[in-house]
Order: sequence, then structure tokens, then C-alpha cells
Amino acid sequence: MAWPPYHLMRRDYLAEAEKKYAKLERLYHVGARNAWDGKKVLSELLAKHGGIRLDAHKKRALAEIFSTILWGELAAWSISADLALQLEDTEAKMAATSQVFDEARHFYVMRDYLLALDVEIPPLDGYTHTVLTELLETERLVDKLLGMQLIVESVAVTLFRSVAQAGVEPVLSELMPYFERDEARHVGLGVLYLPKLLAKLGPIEAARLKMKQLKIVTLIGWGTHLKKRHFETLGMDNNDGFRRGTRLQREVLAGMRSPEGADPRGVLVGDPRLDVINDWAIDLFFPRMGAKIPAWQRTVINLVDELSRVGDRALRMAA
Amino acid sequence: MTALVKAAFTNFVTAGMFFVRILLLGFMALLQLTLGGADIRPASRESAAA
Repeated sequence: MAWPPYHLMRRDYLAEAEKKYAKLERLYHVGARNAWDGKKVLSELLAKHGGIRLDAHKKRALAEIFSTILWGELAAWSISADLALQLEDTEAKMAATSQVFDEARHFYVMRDYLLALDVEIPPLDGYTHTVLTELLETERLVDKLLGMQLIVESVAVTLFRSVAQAGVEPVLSELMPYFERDEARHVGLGVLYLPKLLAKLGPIEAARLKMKQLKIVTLIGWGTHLKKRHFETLGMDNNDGFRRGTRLQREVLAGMRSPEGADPRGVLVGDPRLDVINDWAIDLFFPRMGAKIPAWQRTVINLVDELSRVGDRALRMAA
Repeated sequence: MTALVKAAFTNFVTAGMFFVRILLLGFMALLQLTLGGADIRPASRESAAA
């Protein structure tokens, strides 16, 4: 497309865009209004709680979970910058630009928190590494938007809420809502803008996109098995987290439906036809914390945990 | 490893992990239907904020 895009100043174009994307532009303004000073918030929380006081084994567990978050935030920063560059509509570009600022803040706050935690940060596991590098390297805008805004950001929102609710550590519990509010806005960018891109998909491209989601969801599932013992150390219930995540996905999908109620093309996550399978998978693979489970279920789960380590080693070979 | 080989390898591993997961899910569902004992709850319809 020729540059500069003179149509951005045409009044008929502006009126049409205002009608269609006013909510997207609002994401930018809300983001600017609610921007928080990461340095100030973290230092005040550390002073309020007298620093981070946690047993060594819980610190290690936290580092395992939050290495995923730290590098996830760095990836989200780059991906949102890619989106800001690639998106053509001004309102979507503004929302993505606002996200770039949020992700930069999330990354440095998480880095500073982990430095204050004073524990060695383990390398990224093979599953998360695969998901993030795929989203970083793809040149397909729809893959980046769907993968990052709808799946990874939803997982982040769910995880932040679980960490805050588990009361793992008071500084973190008070820090997480700041992250969660920002991430909810980022999901909003996907919900509001993706339907436009998805409407152009043909059947082959829609099927390819569904396969991509299946791949990401599979990797997230196995990655959670790999980190299970660390979640348990921190008192975080994966059953609860997955259920909350699927509810959020359902709400996201509902937000993307056309006014006539038609599902957007190519979206697999949140599909109510998968509810029963999801319920069984969550309860069988991730029983509620503290629940009494039969011997056969414990045996299979132990096998799954072992297999998750095999898969992790295989994927790390390609990292 | 070139990018193409890497992508093929991760796709292969992920596909394998997906099929193993589906097989294990089917196997566990069968055990649940025959032996029972696991706590399976229907999808809750409350909001994600709950």
C-alpha cells in the first residue's frame, strides 16, 4: 500500500472507522489513563511488606513458574510491537501500541521482582519455548493475534488471578491485579479486531488456524504437567485454573460472535461443543487439589508427569 | 538445525504428544466409566470473574 495512507484523513473513512472501532480506540485511552508506575508500585509493596519473605523451596517453585511469565512478557512485548507495526486500522494500531508500553512495564517489573526474590531463574521449558518462538517468528498477523491475544493472554490472566488468590507471597499477591487489569485489555484487542481478519479466511486457512490452536493448547497442557509439582508447592490448584481459563475462553468467543450469533471462522478455543471433553480432560488430568483420587487415576497421572519430562527434553533439543 | 528442520521436528513431537494425550484421555475415561471414583464435574456456567 502506498505511503502515506491519505485515506486516514478522509472524513467518510473516519466516520466509518469511528462507528466500527470506537471501542478499540478506547482501549488505548483507558491504557494511557490507567498506566501505573512499575518502579514505584514495586518499591512501595516491598517496603510495605518488609521485602520478600519466603521459604527457599517456595522461592524455587515461584522461580519455575515465573520464568515462564518473565519470558512470556518479553515475547508479548515484541509481538505487540509487531502488531502495532502490521495492523492497518489506526484504532487497532493505537490499542497495540498501548499494549507495547504495558508489556515493557510488565517485563521490567517482573525482572525486578525476580531479582528481589534472589533465586536462580531456570531456563524456559521446551513447551513454553515452542509456543513463544512460534508466535514470535510467524509472519501471519492472524496467528499472532489469535495465539497471543486470545490464548497466551488468557492463560496469563488466569495465572495472575490464581497466584493472587493462592496468597503465595504478599508482594506478588498485590502486584498481580495490576498485571491482570492490563492483560484483560490486551484480550480485548483480539476480541474486537480478530473478527474482521477471520471473516476473510477460507476453509483451508480456517482449518490451519484450528490446528495451530490445537498445537498451542496441547503444549500448554503438557507444560502444566511439567510444572505441576511447583504449582502444588505454591498451593495453586490447576483444576481451578483450567476451569477459570475455559470459562474465560467461552466469554471471549461469545464476544467475537456476529450480531446474528454466528461463530467467527477458524476459532477453536472456547467452542461450547468441546465443553464436555474439556471437563473430562481437566478433571481426569488435573484433579482438584486435596481431592481423594482412585489408584488408577494416580497411576496414569504419574505416567503423564513422566511423559511431560520426555516431551520437554525432546522440545529443548530444537530450542 | 535449520529453521525448517526445527519446525518439522517440533510439529512431529507436538503431534505425538497430542495423540498420546488423546489416547490417555480415552483410556482414563474408560476406566472412569467402568471402575469410577474420579470426580468429574459438569461445566460450570458462572462467569470467568468468579
